[in-house]
This record gives sequence, structure tokens and C-alpha cells, in this order.
Amino acid sequence: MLQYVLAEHPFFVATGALYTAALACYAAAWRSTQRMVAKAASVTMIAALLLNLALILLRWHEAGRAPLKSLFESLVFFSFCLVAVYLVFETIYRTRVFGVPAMALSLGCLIYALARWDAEIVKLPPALQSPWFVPHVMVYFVGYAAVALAAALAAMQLLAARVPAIQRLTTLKAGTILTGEVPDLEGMTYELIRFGFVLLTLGLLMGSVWAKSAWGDYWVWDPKENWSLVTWLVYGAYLHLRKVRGWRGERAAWIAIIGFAVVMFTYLGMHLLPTAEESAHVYSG
Amino acid sequence: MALESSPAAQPGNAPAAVSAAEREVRLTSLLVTGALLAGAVLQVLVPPGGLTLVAGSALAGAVVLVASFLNPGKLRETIAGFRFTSTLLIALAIFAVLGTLVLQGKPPEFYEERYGPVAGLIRALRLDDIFHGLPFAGLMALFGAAVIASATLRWPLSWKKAGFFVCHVGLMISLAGAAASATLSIRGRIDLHAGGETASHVRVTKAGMDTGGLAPLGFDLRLDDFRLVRYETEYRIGYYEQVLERDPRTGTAHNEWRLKASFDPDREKHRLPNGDSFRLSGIWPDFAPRPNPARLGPDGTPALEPATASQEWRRPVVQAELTQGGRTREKLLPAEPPGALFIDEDRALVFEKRDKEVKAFLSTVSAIRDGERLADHARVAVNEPFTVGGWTLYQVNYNPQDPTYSGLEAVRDPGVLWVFAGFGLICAGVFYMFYVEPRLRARKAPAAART
Repeated sequence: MLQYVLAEHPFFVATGALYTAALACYAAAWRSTQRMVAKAASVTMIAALLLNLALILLRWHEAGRAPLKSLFESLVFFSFCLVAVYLVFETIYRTRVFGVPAMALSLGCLIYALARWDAEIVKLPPALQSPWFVPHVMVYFVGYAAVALAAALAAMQLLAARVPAIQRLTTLKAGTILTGEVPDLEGMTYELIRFGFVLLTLGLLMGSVWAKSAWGDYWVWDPKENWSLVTWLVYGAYLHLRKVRGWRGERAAWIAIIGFAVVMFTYLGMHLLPTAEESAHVYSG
Repeated sequence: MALESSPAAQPGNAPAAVSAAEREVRLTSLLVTGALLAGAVLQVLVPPGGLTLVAGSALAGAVVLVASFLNPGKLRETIAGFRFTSTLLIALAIFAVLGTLVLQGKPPEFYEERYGPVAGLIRALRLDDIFHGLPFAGLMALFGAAVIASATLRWPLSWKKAGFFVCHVGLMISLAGAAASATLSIRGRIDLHAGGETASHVRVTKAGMDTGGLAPLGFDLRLDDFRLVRYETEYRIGYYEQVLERDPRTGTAHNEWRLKASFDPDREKHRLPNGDSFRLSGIWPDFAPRPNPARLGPDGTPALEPATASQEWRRPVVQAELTQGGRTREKLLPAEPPGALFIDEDRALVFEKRDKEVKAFLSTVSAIRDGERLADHARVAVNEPFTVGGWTLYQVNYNPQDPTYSGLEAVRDPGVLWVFAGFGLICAGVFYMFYVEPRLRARKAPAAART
């Protein structure tokens, strides 16, 4: 399979290779005190992001439609969103400490895409030929990317309290932390979830409006609809519980991780449900 | 936010804060458990349904809300609090998950067949219609009361806390709209054939199933025309592998050919997933073999050679050249019926014509009432509903065996505009709360520090 992908889809392989290089550079930046290493990580990550974008645009051109239909296509797009959101995060917080988990997530998506390779480009059925298709899916995946990074940060927050090496990482000041400040992991997680929640809200409601125009019903309790609602409710609970005494810190981090697990199940696990046969949203690819 | 700054919750009053929190936890548990239990008991008498959900939610919600306003201390503080709302959100999430574990709204015999001995329990607990039963109504009642109670705490409005209020008003408007949809909407099917067949009634459906009832449209709907649009024909070189498939129901295993990769029929050399490679050494779009006088066959007549009659893809045939471990094999492959070049027992290259998949199905309809045309040759397609005489028509079905048949869904829903208006407010409120209010507060803080 690898030989086939290498020969037939070199852009895909090049994107994966650049993400791997970016991951290695970010990992090296954990050890090195030289700013050059950290900058190399960012430059490689941006190059990988651009190549990922090219991969998406090329597929868009080939398919004659937005490449967001199959599981494979969505994984390639998710990989792009993860890095795009991370790039904004790195710029805002001026830290490169979290480059490794971000690149690992993105690379993980590409590796999984390799396992779920589309045999061929599928055509859009009538229900998906809607002006809502692209904004609905894009908004959701940017939201998913934000909560994925939030879960990575929450995991680091939990590990930092237990593993001295992670504790040292999160307080790195040389080379990788540009500001020299100790990052507020919980605050960053909250910001990412807040951003993700706005997008999950928008995505859920757009999906509902789209369903109305396609099938005449804005809510039919379809399994995917239900699980999208579950993700929204879990993150809604996270945002509410932050206002309750005793629910910040580790408890909040655990909810962030549970929330992401629910997101992943909503995205990838629908076929495991006993009601999957009733769903109009199970990936067939 | 009111609860955060309530005297009992101040950091200085630690023992008092603990007892206030404990009280809140106890009252929250009592209300949520009570609502679920009361719903579970009462649903023995009241079967699930749209009306049950709406009436149950409205009644119970009103009772809780009135009680909380009459007792503005403990009860109102609790139901307007973040802890109570969080608990409800998690409880609603659990219900949403349960609804995906048991198929919803099926006839009783379906559950007997599917779930066997557990079917009785599922039906007794009404898990077969979980979102229209009284336990769910109890949760929705508490949720509605919590939304109203917490929103009213933000009154009178200020720019710095408008987001929460707008978002929660949006939630209430959406829920009210959904209640109107659940109780007042009518939906049904209209099956028509093109060429002037008319309908004056819809066959009323519930959860996608025919109820046997009819509802008058109030006009005659005529199907003028129906068109099934298909994607263009495509020819592909498919690479198939035989895989062992296990039937999840019977547990039996069988081999099945699965498409693993596909290629344009071009002259480039392609690598296959198994590591071999192939190219097409000849492509004849309109295959018509010609005799070649220079080459004679065994019987002495000129041998036939592949050729094409035109460049149009009418009867395409390709010559596939497979390179396998340094050795090359060739074979002529027609597209119809699909020709296969077997790589080994479990792998094959197949030249095939793809089925023309359906791209769109479109109805053209006219609506006539008392001789007056309400709509003339209006188009109805998937994602392009058409509204006439208070009904919205959706294109939902076609029959590949009957090109004149069109299946339409007619919906009359007085709640939908309220639902969507609420959606708009929710989005605006959430965005304002998270991204505008913090800036307003940040701007206010330095000004306060200067004074």
C-alpha cells in the first residue's frame, strides 16, 4: 500500500514527511536551548500546512466538489485544521512547547487516513449538494481541532502533576518559550474549549437548518445528531462547571478529555452503535 | 454569576460555603431524581408522544418556576445555579446516548424480534420512545425552569452581561418553537406521477410511518414534470482484492471482492497497492476490430486487429499490460461486460463502466385553488423546498423503475421560524458572551483603576 501511495499520491507522502520532520524539530526544541531549532520547527510546520492545503485543493479540483465527503477526505482536512488552529495558538501564546502533541495528532490523522484510503473519489448524493455542506463541515472540524488541542493540553496538565519530566516541559523557559513565562495550561485549555464550543454550537445549528431544507425536519434524533448534541452538552457542562467551586484544576482537565473522547466517538464511532443502520451519517468509506 | 458572589459562597466563609454547596447538591439531586422517578411512574398512565412531552415539560416547568419565584432563597438560587444546569446537561446527554443504544419509534413486534427477552423491559420503561416520554419531559421542565431563572437574574440588562441573557432567551425561543412543532405541525407524504396527476390531501406520517390519516392541502397539487438527473458515465480501471468478510448476525465468513484502488483509463504507468504495476498499452473508445491484410490468421484470412470506429466512448476496450516480478502479461479488457485480468487468485484488474449515479431529482409542480393558480410550474428538489398555501414541499423520493414517479413530503410547521430565530440568538449570545464581554470588562478595568 505504501509503495502505491508513494508512487500515485506523492503530495500525501510529502505532507506526512513534513509533519514528521516538524514533530522531530518540536521534540528537539524541548531539549535544545537554541532558538534556531524552535524556529525550524515552526517553519517546517508551516510548510507542511501549506502542502496539506495543496493536497486538499488538488482533491477539490479532481473531485469537482469540496473534499469533505468520505472519512479519508475528512481525516486529511482534520489534519489541516489541527495544525491551522495550533499555528494560531502558537502565535497568540508565543510558545512552542505544545508543538509535539499538535503534530502528533495531525500526523495520526494522516496515518489513519492511509488505513482508510478511498478506493476512488465518490460523487455527492443529492442531499449533500447544499450550500450548507461546506460551512457545516468546516466549522465542525475547526471546532474539533480546537477541542483536540484542548484535550492534549489537559492531558499535559494532568501528567505534569504526576510525571516530573512533563512538569519540566511545561515550565521550559529557554529556546522554546518565547516569552519566558510559565504557561497557564488550564487557562489555555479553557480558551480553546471556549473557541471550540462557539464553533460546535454554530455547526450543530447549521446542520439543523440544513436538515430542514433537505428533509423537512430540523431534528430527527438521528444517532449522529444525538452524539453531536452530547458533545455540545458535555462542553456546555464544562463551561458551566468552571463557575462552580471545586470544579477547576484536575476535574476540569478530566472533563476536557472526556469531551474529546465523545467528539472522537461522534466522528469515528457511529458504525459501532446498535442504531447505526438508522443513521444517515455513518461514514461508508 | 449571582451564585458566585452570594454571601454563602465567599471564600472567607468556608464552613458556610461548604454547607451551602452541600445544600445545593442535595436539592439538585432531589429535583433531578424526583423528576425522573415521577416521569417514570406517570408514564405508566400517559404514553409517550409529542403532546405528552410538551404538556409534561410545560406543566412541570411552570410548577418548578413558580415555586422558585415564591421561594427566592434556596430553590431559586439552586435552579439558577451553574451546578444545577451542569447536572441537567449531563443528564440530558445520558438520555441522548440512551436514545442511540435502542432503536426509537418502531412497532412492538420489531422489538420482540430484535431484542428478544429484553424487549418487554424496553417497552415497559418506554426506552423505545425515550425522547417523547415523561422522564425526558421532567428533565426538559427543569432545564426550561433553569434557563428562565438564570436569565431573569441578568435583568435589567447591561452591555457587559447581555450575552448570557440573549443566549438563554434564544434557547427558550427555540424550545418554544420546538414545542409548537411537536404539537401543531403536520407532515405527510404525497405520491404523484408526472403528466398532470393531482393530489388534494397528504397521507399523514409520524416518525416516518404512515398513520393512516389524511390532511387536506387546501389546494390541488399537480405534478407537471419529473426529472431524474444522473452523473455522466465513467470508465475506470478497478483494482480488486478478495477479502474475508464475516456476517455480524450469523457469524459466517465468506470471500468478497473489494475495490481497493481505481485509476483513470490513461496510458500512464500505475503502481498497484500490492506492489505490481500496470499500464494501458491500447485504448479503443468505440471498439471495432479491423482485418489486417498484412497479417493472416490460421485459416488464411486477414487477422482481426483492435481498432476504434470513433473517439466517442460507446464500446470501450483497453489492452492492460501487467508487470509482475519483472514479467509482463497483456489482455484485452472490454468495459461491458467488465473484463478482468487476474493478477493472482485474490487480486484482479477490472475495466468497468460505473453506474450512472443519481445527481438530482426534480419535480415541477403547480398548485391550483378554485381555478386560481397559487403556483405555476414551481421547482421542488432536494435542498430546494417550495412553500405554497402554508405547506412546504420537500423532494424526498423517486423510483428508478418508474421514471414518472415523484415522492414529496409536505410539512406545515408553525414552530420552525421560532426555532431558527432562537438559533440565531443562541449563536449571537454565545459569541458576544465569550468574545465581546471580556473586552468590555477589560476596557472598564483600567478606567476604574485610574479613577
